[in-house]
Amino acid sequence: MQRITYLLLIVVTIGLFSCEKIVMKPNPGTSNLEIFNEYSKLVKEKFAMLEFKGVDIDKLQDSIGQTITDGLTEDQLFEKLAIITNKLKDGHSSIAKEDTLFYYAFYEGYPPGIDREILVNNYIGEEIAPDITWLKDEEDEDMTKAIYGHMPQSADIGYLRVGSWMSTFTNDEVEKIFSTFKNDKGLIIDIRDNGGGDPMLSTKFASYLIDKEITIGSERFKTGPAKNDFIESTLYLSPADSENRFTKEIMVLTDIWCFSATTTFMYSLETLDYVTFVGQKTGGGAGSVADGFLANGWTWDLSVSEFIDINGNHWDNGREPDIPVVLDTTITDKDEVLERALLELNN
Amino acid sequence: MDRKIFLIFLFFSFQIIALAKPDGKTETEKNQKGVLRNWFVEAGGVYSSFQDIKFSDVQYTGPGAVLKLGLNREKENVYFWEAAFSFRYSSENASTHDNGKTTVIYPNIYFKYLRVLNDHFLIGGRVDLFDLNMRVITALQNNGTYYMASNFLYGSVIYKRPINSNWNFSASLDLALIGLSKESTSFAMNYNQTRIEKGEVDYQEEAMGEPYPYKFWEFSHIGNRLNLITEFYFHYKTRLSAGYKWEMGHWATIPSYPTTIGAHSIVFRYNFAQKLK
Repeated sequence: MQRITYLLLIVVTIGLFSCEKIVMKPNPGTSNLEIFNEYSKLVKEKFAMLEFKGVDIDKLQDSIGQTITDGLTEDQLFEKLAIITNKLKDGHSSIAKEDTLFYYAFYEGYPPGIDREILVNNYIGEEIAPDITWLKDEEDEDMTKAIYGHMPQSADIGYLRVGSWMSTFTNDEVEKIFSTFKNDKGLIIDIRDNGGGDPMLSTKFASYLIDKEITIGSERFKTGPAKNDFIESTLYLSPADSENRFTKEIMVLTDIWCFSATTTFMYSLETLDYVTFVGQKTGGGAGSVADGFLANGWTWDLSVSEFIDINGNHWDNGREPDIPVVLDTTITDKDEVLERALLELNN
Repeated sequence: MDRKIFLIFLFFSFQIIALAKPDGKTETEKNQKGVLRNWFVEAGGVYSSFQDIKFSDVQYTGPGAVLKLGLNREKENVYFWEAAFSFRYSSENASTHDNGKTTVIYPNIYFKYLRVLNDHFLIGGRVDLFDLNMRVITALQNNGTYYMASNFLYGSVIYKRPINSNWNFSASLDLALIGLSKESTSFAMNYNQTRIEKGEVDYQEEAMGEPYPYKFWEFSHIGNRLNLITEFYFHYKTRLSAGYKWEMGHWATIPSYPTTIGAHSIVFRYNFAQKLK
C-alpha cells in the first residue's frame, strides 16, 4: 500500500508539474497560408529597413496572401515568399529551401569589376611578381587568405588583396602584412569581389589604417516587434596597437560585389581624407544579419540593423566610388582600376 | 550593481541557513551522530526540449545522455551538502520539419547545502557556480550558436523517507530565487539584448559574442524567471540509487517572446567511495 502511495505521489507530481510543454506555445501549423503568414510576420517584426527600402509589408502581405491557397505546390509557395524577399531589395535577405536559394540580385546590370586572370598574369602572379606573398589558409590550401607585397609596376606602393573576410588571421599574420608596407608611399587595398564574412575581421584590418580613434557612424538594431523598436549603437574605430599602422595615401579598389563585412571595412574608412575609393559602385549590405527556420524547415535570412554614417548617409544600397573606373576585359594585359590607383599614387 | 546585490544575497542566504537550528537539539547531541561522505557517479538518459519564440514557435526535442560526478556529506539529523559537476549532451530535432540538427551541450557545477528540519524534511539552498546551456544548430550561420549562461541561487527542499529496510525514497525541489544570466540572442540578433539596449555593439571587441566574462549579465528573480529542478530517487541500501529528474527554465527577455528549456532524465547513481565517521 505504501509503495502504491509513493508511486501515485510520483505520477501525480510528474503529471502536474513535470512538463515544460505546459508553458510552451503549441507548434505552429505548416499549411501554405501559415507558412506565408509566418514569413510575413518575421519580415514585419525583424527586417530593419522597411522604411528605408520603402516596403509596405502589410499591404504586401494582404495582396499576396489572397493568392495563397492549399492548392499551391511547394515551388509555387516558395515563389510567393520570394516576392516579399525581392521587394526588400536587400542582398542579405534570403529565403531558401532544399535546393533553392533566393535573394535580391543587387549586382544585376553591373559590369565585372575584376578579372583574376588579368590580375594574376600581369600584376600579382608568382611568376611575374616575386615580391608578392600569397598567404594560404592552413586548413585549405586552395584558399588564399590574403595577397600582399609589391607589384613589379611599383616598388614603393604596397598592394594588399583580401578576397573574403571569412578566413581566420592570427595577430602575427596581420602584423606581418602591414609591416610589409612600412616604408611605402602609398597602399592599394583590393577588395573587389569580396562579398563579406566577419565584420570583426574587416574592422581589425581597418584599425591598421588610422592613428587615432574616430567615430564612424551608428548602427540601429531592431530590438522588438513594433515598427519603431530600434536602439542605436554609435560605432567607433580605435587604432590597432601596432607600429605597423599605415596612414599615408590609400586607394581602395571596389566593385558591385563589395558587400556586407566589406561595406563595414569601407564605412570604417569613409571619413579619412587619405583614403580614396576607385572602381565601381559597391553592393552595400550594411546591416547585420539574423537567420532561422520557418515551420516547414525553409531557412530565412534578414537584415536586422541598418548603418548610417556620421554624415547621415545610409550605406545599404552601396557607395559610389570617388573615382569611377570601368574594367575593359577585352584588354587582357591591363587592369584599368588598378592602373588608375597606381597613377593616383604616383602623382 | 545587479551582481553586487546577487553576491550580498548569496552571502546572507548561506549565513541564515548555517545559523538555523530547526530541530531544537543541542550541538552536543548533534555531534554524536555519524557523518557520511559519498563520492558518487551518476549516468543516464535525457530527453531535452527547447523553444525560443523570438525566432520560431517550433519546439525542438531529442534524446541524449547525462553524466554527473559529485561529492556529498550528510551529518545525520543536522545537515547535508553536495557539490557536483554534471555534463549533459543531447541531439534535438524540430517538431515540424527535419532541416538542421541541434546539438545541446550543458555543463553545470553546483553546490547545495540543506539543514535538517525533521525526520523527513531538509531545507536550504543551491547555487550554480557554472551553468552554460549551449546549442549548436546546423543549417544556420549567424544564429547557429545559442547559449544561456547563468548563476542562480535556488531555494531547496528535500523530502525523504524509508520504504523498507533496503529501500529509501527521496524527492527534492530546487527553485531559483535570484540570479544572473546572459542569453546570446536579442530580439533579432545573435548579440545579447542588454548589450544592444545599452548601445554598446563594438566590432573591435573580440569577446562580443561570448558568455564570459560577466559583461552584460542581467539580474533576474523568481518574479520574472522560472527555473526549477525536481528529483525523485529510490535508494537501494547505501550504494545504489535510481532516479528521475526534471529541469525547466522559462523566461522572456522580450515580453511575449519567451524562451523555454526543459529536460527529463532517468539516472542511476553509484556511491563508489563512502566514508562514515
